[in-house]
Amino acid sequence: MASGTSNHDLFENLRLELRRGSLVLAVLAALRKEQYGYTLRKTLGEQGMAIDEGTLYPLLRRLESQGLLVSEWREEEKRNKRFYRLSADGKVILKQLLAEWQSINSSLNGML
Amino acid sequence: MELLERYLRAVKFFLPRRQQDDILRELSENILSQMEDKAAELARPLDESEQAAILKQHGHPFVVASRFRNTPVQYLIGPVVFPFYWFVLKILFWIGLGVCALNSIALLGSGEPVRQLLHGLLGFAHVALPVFGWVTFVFAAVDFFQAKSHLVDKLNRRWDPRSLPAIATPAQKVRRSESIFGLIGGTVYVAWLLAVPYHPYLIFGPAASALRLAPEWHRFYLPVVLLAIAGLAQAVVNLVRPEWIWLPPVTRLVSNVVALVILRSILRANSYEFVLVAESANGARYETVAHIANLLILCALGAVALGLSIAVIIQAWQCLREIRQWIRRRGNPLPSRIS
Repeated sequence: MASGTSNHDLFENLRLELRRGSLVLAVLAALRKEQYGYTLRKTLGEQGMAIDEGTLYPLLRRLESQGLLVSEWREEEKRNKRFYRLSADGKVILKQLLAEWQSINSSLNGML
Repeated sequence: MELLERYLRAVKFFLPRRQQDDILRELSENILSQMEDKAAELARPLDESEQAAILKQHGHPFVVASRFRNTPVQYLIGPVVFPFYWFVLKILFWIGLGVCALNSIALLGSGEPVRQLLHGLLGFAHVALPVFGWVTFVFAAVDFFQAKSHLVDKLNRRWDPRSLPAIATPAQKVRRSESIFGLIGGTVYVAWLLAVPYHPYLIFGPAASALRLAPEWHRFYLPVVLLAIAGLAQAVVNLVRPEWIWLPPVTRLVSNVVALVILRSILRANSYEFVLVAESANGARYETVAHIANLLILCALGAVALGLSIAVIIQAWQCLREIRQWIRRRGNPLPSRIS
């Protein structure tokens, strides 16, 4: 029983580790179209890339501080919201990351 | 939305001052959007427990705020220096504990063993905590400066795998030369000890006519001779049985423990006059010589006691290792190259 729980925890840790890198890619890809935090989270969830708030919102700020995203406060439905979109640098990085991801994917497919 | 305001205020407390307003505005908008969505889904305003569930999903204010902090992971002592730091701490801990344990054992006959034991443990904590604090401070400083000077990167560039130390093959036997040397040295030492009572010149040299050993020494003479004979016996046994590699460390350990007990008795006698002026001698010159000799002997005994305490800890560990290897080899004749 204890071993089962420990295996489950181990799997969960490894799964999160595996997803962590992919989440950046997913966020950058989703922000080719402008969105604000909450709708972005919903979009990612609908696409099967669920991400919790505590991870997404700090991630958006980090990517913005790295120059990969730009943001703008704008009124929508009578409330001010912060909209994010991919910057020019972000587009270049996304392209490179996608190529890398495809390369990893094909390598893994070859091994499995 | 009072609950949301309370939540945001709590998050604000933990946020960096410069980013507080910006982060809270955004967080507030996102949470409000989520609450509105949920309300639309239920076709009614959310009650307090439903709002609380959404806030709980976001996390404790402290956790939420910590995720927004951009500071990189901070170490007091980083992963490069940490193994050395941990090693030194462990060594100091065991040495301190060993000295404390030996002290407590020696005090068992004092009439108040429990009180003395507690006193010893408190004394250990009293000394150990500041020592650990200083060690931590020194290693934190080392880590800081090695990170600043990129020492690890430089070492990594210069490093050559061929400079790695060769693998030492575990000793299968006590070397014959070691036993012969021990036998010769031990014989000379025992002979010297046996001759000293009849020939004081062997200790005092030209001052033998004016100085003599204090009577206290006579109490310890026999144990010291027995210790020397034990060392001699070990050399003889290992000459015959070189495969008994556990014998030298065990003999050293036992001898050092006994020596510590003897030293403790000498120092506890509180008569710090080890050398006396002979009755036949005249002149204050020899009083001064005896005084200096007593002072030097006292310092030397203190230093030897400290050295022996450290040696006992290390030898106890080596002893266990040797015995374990010996047992393993008896069970499995193929020695492991790396153990």
